[in-house]
Amino acid sequence: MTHSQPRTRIVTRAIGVLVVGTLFALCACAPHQAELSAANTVLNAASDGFSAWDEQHQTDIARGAKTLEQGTADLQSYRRKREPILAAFTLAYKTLAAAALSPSDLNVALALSTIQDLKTAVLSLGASWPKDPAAAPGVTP
Amino acid sequence: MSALSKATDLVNLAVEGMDLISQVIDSPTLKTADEVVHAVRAVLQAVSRAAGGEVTPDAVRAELGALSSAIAAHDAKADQDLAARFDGSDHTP
Repeated sequence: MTHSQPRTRIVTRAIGVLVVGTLFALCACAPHQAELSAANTVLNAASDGFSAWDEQHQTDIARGAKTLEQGTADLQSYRRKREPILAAFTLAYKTLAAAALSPSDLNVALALSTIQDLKTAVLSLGASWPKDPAAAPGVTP
Repeated sequence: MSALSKATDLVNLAVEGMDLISQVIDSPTLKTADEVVHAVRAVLQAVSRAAGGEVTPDAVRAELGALSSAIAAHDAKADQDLAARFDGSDHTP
């Protein structure tokens, strides 16, 4: 009886420490999961929006061309300007996937940073960016 | 959303996806294999989003693949529209 009481107390404390530790770990991970989920939503919306804009923009170029040569040149010019945007989308998705696999502060910050860069690139081309009130933290609305 | 409800949605999406793919493959207006790839990627993207929008490598591949397919389809369509305008086959008002 006298030996079992301290043992019980130790086991109880160990369980308590484990529970508290687990809660701390969950609390530490949860904000990142929310950030990543929001970033994913914003990125998918941006991808859909850019895709729709791209289709309309190319249609406008093709329909507004005065000659076949001018239309071909205008389409090629646009597609050259579009290349960095597509590269930025690829980078944003890949850094987001890396952050999801390993949600460290650095990886999450990097993912949000690439989305911010993508946003700048998309807007500089004249396309729009989704106006989502639940936009990813770290990416200015 | 419960696990059962999510699973049901996924099965429904898969069935609709297979139906869509079979329609595209059987379609007399099918022009290139790119259209089939585009349809398949769009289905994968929809399934991935229905699965809860989790950020996983598969989900990323589906999104990137769908975007690439869509862009390639837009390029091809714009080239066709442009050529049609100047070879007399364009009847767009």
